[in-house]
Amino acid sequence: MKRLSHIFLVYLFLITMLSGCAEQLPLEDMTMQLMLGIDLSKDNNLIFYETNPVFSKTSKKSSETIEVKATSIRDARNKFDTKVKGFVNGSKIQVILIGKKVLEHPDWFSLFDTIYRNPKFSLNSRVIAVDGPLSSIMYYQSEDNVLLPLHLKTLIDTNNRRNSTVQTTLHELHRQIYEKGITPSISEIKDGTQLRLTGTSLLNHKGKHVHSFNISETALLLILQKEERGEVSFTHFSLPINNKNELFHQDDISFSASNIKTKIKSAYHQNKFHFDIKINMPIYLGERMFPYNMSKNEKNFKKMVEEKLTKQFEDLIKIIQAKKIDPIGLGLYARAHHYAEYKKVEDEWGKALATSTINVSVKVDLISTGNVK
Amino acid sequence: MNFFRKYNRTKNLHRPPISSQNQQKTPLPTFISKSVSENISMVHTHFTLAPDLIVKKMVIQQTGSHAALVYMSGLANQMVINDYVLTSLLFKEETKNKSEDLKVLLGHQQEATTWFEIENAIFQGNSVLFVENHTNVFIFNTPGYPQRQVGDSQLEPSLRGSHEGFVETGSQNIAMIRRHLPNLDLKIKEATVGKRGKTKISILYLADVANPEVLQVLEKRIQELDVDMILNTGVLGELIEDNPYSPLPQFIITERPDFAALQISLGRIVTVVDDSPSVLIGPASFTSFFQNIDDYGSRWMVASFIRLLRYVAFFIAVFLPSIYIAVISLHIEVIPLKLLLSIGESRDRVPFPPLLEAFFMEITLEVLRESGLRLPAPIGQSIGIVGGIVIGQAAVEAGIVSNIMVIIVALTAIASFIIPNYDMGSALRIIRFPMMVVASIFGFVGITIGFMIFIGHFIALESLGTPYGSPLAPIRFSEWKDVFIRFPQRTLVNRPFSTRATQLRRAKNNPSKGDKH
Repeated sequence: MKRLSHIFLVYLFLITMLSGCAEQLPLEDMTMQLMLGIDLSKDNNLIFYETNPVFSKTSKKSSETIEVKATSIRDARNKFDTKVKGFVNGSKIQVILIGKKVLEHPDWFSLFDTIYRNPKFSLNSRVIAVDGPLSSIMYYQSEDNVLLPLHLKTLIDTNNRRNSTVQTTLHELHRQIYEKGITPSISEIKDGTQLRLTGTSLLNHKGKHVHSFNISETALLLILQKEERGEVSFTHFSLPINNKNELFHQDDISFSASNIKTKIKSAYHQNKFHFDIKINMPIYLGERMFPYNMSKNEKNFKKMVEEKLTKQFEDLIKIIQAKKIDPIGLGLYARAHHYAEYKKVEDEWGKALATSTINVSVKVDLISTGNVK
Repeated sequence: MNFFRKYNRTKNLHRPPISSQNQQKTPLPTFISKSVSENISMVHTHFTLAPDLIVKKMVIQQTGSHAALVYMSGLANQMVINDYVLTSLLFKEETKNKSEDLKVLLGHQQEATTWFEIENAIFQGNSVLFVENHTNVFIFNTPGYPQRQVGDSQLEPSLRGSHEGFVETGSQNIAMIRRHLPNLDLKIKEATVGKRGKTKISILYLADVANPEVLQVLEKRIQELDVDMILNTGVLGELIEDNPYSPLPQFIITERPDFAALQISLGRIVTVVDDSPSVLIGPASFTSFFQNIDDYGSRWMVASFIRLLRYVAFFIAVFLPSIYIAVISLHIEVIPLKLLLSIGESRDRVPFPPLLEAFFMEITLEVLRESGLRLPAPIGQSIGIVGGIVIGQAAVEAGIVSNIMVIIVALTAIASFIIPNYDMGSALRIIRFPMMVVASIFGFVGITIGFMIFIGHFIALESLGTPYGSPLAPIRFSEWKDVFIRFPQRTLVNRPFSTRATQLRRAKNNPSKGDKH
């Protein structure tokens, strides 16, 4: 009994020496950051924004936003602390907004160092690029007083499920930055008359913003990445038939595709890479604005859709090649199958991809044409 | 501890020895004398200040000798004495019968020769007949002390079990168990414990099933007891348990004869304490406290579901408040954001740290529970309303505690009441408090360490020399058929290892399905 109690005391002593648990901070003494924003001012100073919820029932606002001028996220935290009542805590950050002005400068990613170094940071935060000044979004107050960070997070998540944008978390961004065979792509929002999602920002592997895809281009990108979720919906898809109408687009169809199978094959000859992308797409017709005898001309219809889709994919790839980036991650295929050749061009993969040939072929299966003829 | 021991020793020096008072009185002689009048005067000198003692002198018609009948008016049934004893002694003239034998209309009749036996007999409600020129007395079994009707068990109600609960009379309790187990191997060993209380203790077991070593341990512990009186089963249990410093109960105390009979059939030993409406069952294992008679009365899927609920409730009762404290004060990262926002909103007005808040609510709950228990039933209910609505609602409105804390405390309370055994439920409520303290200091690490200490203690604990953790701590997978999930009755063919039964099998060759084999 005596020995046991001695052992127990030793354990108790050791427990008190444990790190990580000593910092006791009840919820109400904490300023929980839900959103972090980084932007550049007109005179090229870094500005950090932070939004945290306000629990007090007497307050009309559900959240407060603070901006400080600082040199890094860590520096910003110290300055935030001087302005809010509780200890600033980044463990519940939902979204991180980066102004496009920041993205235009390469190497901005070094700002994020503390996020990955500090184990208490949440790595599930969504990273979002903002087209335009960040202040207009950070101080955006919707009429029904919804917490903006939560709104933005669900906006990204639901749109990702509808294949309108990528879902790049901090963790995923880290991979995309450090993985040489792929370049980062992050969601993009814009504050015009109303806050809205515009698509996907494409960065080169230094982090510099080079191009933006709109929502329908993003869907194609997701198919190529094999990251599409559930149904991919194609709308305003005009076919080459002479049925023009000024007011109503009477050459349009809409359809959705699910269970899309994308196969990517790589080859290396004549000193360059070759990629062969085959996409098998079962489609469900959802809308057809013109009369068409489907039972007779189904093959023709399919061919028209296939040609148009192939064209769209090819255009997308042309842009990617022109910008010398690789958001699809074709470099991963090159590395897997042609390691020696890839290793030589690894550091300049974007350039190597620009010179390679990429063929896309789309095969469409018409599963259903709907309830009416 | 040593300090206290020394302190006690010095204190005892000043205290007069207990037996000195008794020495001043002349002790009762061992044997009775032949003269009735001498015996009666002996009775009167020793039963002083006992107005309920009745001594009736008479001449027995059957033999013509002088005699005296002695009994306690409250303890003996005077109707029985009048109708069957006195009538036959005073009015039945049997000239043929010249022998020593007396004829009374009673089945149960004993003879005794010592004063010790006589004293015991009188206090047990029997009547004692002294006869002239006899060195022995006749003891007639005429008990008439107040007895309670056999009714439903208050503490352990059940749906399918029998609706009789133990009463305060030991012999009736034994009879109730015997009705379930009419078997020659059901043996009863009797002992009397307590210098003044002289409580009759009966040990019931199946001779060919119960482990003799375990029986010996129990018997030895009971025999070695040197106490004034055994008030009830709980007192006996605490006096003979293996580790009095453990929060966990080491004997099952039950009010249900059917449950006691079931445990005997599994190889456990039941101790019936006279004057106590419950019995002591040992050796107990931790998992046996989570079993209930209804588990066997209802179908196995339902029973298993409810039993799993109990184990979940065990974890809720022990850990929920401490997890809440740990999460709120140290690990807010693990809460989903939307929940966190609502917790933050309700915590905002609370001026106390989470540990104090939790302690405040938990202690309020315990006070309510205890006060509801001590009050008469109609008022007890209104205490529940006062506690539940007024304190719960008002405390939140006033900003003393948060909404979430009220939910946590309520859940914890409900969870601790689902444990079928009252002692185990109370033990879990006690364990909760140190858990809350370590959680508030060390967070999840503290909870883990706390649980490890609990497990360590649980593994080391024994009940009557058998492992308390069985079948979990010495792992016996085959016995898990009746632990977390109650398998169909047909598969429960073995007795638990934890009872160390000498006969392991208790059933065999039951059809596995309907009439198929």
